[in-house]
Amino acid sequence: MNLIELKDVNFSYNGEPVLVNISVAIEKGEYAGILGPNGGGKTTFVKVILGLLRPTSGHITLFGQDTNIFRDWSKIGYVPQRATQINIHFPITVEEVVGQGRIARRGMLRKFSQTDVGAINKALHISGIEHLKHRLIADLSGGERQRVFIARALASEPELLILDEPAVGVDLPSQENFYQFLEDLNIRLGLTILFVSHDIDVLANQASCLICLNRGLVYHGTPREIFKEEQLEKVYGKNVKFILHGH
Amino acid sequence: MLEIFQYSFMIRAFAAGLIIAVIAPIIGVFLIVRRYSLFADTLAHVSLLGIAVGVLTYTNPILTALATSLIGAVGMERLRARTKIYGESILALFLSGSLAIATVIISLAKGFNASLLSFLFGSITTVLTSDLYLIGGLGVVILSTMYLVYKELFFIAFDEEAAKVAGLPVEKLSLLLMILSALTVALSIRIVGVLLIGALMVIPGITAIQFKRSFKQTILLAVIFSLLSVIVGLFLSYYFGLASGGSIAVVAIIFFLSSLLYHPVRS
Repeated sequence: MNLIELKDVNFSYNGEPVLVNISVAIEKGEYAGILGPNGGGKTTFVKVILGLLRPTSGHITLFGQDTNIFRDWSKIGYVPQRATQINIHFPITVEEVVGQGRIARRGMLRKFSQTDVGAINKALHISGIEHLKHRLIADLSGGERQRVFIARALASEPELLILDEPAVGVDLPSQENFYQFLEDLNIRLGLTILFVSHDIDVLANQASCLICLNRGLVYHGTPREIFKEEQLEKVYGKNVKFILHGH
Repeated sequence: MLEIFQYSFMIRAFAAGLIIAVIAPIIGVFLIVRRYSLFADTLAHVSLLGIAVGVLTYTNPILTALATSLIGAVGMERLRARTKIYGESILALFLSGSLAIATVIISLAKGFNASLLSFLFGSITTVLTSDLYLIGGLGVVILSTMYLVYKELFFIAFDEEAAKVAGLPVEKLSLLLMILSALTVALSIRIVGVLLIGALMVIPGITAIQFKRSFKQTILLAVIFSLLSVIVGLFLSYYFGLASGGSIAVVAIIFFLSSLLYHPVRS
């Protein structure tokens, strides 16, 4: 089953094309990596899927439903770009941030039930941040904060996790743990993952499929194929050399 | 019984003051974290325009202040959402614009300059029984609405984009917060006056934030600081013949300065 499907999607900003004729589908259980140069439309791609931006033309379906009528937003966990840097001086505890992820499932004007509290605790547990529950977000490291935002996304018990460059501002060892953690979520919990990154090295090692954007869809396939030189040239232009590290 | 409570106007002032002391900082904390602290002050100036209209037309000035404050809040939110004018420029526009019209009206209606001071700085002797009913009634409406939409407004204040993705009607809820702010500001005028609304809406909130607690506890602390400021301020106002708004604000500022001792400012 396709969880996300885009058909001939175009998006222009002030007359400038950002996404051009994108048709692509992501199946249940996939770990899809979104790659591409800066300004290639990666974030816009995520935003039109999430309904934050309306495509200029084309159709998008989520869980088989057109995004215009799709209401089941709790099935999608979203970790925004630079999540680790947003509002860090806000007086808010880890538990409160993670609780926000439960709001979509609980519904408007309703107070949290025991089930919600259970789901929040489970999300804290899976993300390995139970011990930070009562700490303020301002007092955490970049890596810890990143886990808080993942936990928030997991609190709604989503089937699809969308992450937009969540590793920005996080130190290297934490990043590696984090990638391992994402892989676990994909394999053990069966979560479908859509991961935007400029870190081609990581995506090549972890993703089950890669989507490369440079305004248009330049490549969609397995990571193995993309390292054929002509594919990389299409994405990043000529004379770009990549040094890949084995894991 | 304390001499202060032998006067019915003081009992009314205390009752109205305590209701405002609970509502103002709750709304205020949301405005602070959304970096919209000056919104309260702008609305207060828009309310002054309403007061001028009320005095000119012999209508209860609190009612006309409520009306202009509501119109102002909706107008500002619409401009913010639909134009490319910076948020703080919109505040400046409404602040000076409404003050300008208010001063024109005030000069047209010669002779209410004396009562003007009480609206600017707050005056405890002016709380009428009808004002108290209005403050009590709308106070209950504001508090229960905040109770109902607390988690949604909290989500939007912290991460508007994620709240949108979660399917929350972000624009409508933001407008609701603005409307509740407008009501709170108009109701606060009798006690703290137009020029010192910020004292109750913003200062207790920033004091509470210094204690680095959860969002819920921050709101609770803000309410406690605000209640203490109003109680101590009203006593000072009565015994030393001071303007109530000024005394309340000074007490609130003393609390804020003391909070810096608890959490020293980083150099």
